[in-house]
Amino acid sequence: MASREIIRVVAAGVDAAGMAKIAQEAGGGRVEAAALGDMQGARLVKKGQADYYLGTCWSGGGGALAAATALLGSTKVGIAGTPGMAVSDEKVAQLVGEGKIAFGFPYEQSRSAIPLIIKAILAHRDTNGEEAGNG
Amino acid sequence: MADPGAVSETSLAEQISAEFAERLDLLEEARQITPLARRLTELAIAEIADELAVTFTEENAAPFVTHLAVALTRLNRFEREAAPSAVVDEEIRDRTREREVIQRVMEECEKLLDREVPESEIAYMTVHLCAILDDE
Repeated sequence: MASREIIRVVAAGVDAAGMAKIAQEAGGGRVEAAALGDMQGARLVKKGQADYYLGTCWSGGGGALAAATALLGSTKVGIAGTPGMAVSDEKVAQLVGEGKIAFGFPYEQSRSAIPLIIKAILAHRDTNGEEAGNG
Repeated sequence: MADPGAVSETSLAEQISAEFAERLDLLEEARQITPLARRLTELAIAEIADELAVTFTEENAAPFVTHLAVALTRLNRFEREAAPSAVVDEEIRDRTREREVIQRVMEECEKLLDREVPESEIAYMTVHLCAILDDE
């Protein structure tokens, strides 16, 4: 059965508050998003008190996901975009399908990346139920 | 910059080490950063704080410290540098002073890394630093 529960998202990194707002808007009432520090946000996901982690830095690589990788493990995190690689539907769907629950991308791609990631998460949840994504 | 292997450090460097100990411990234990990159990060942050008379804390500088440690680890491991960003270059176009400070500190890191710090990495470090200064 499709799951319609609220998805809890934490946003960390450059302009985390702005990221959280974009995520919440993209979720159409199905997403609750909060801006947190990277370690705090990743710990919430690890404890199951949040479902997904969005991280930005200027380069989209290490800094965006360093704390999440340290706390959640490398198998749970994925780089969705870099300055040389725009976030795409295909890439995000692949990462979500692989069971990634933390996504990193450059700050400059926030406006395009976050709606794509939220869309992929919701589609994945609708298809696979609430067990999807729980780290 | 002091020798990272030296026993005695300045009190500012010790303060910086203490302030970011939890973060850097976590990253080092998970092998996200190397011990050398960690030490260089602590010393670089202390030097930048001293030069620009700015106080770095977990609250205002966590992304900068993490970025610096990860970037220095990339270099320490001889991995490919971060790809340049036109957006970042534009952000720091007029930030000559901050860029020069970063460049000077990185020149000292280069000796211990045995590798040149590329312009793209300098730019990312600079934009992080500018974000902190602009929020002050």
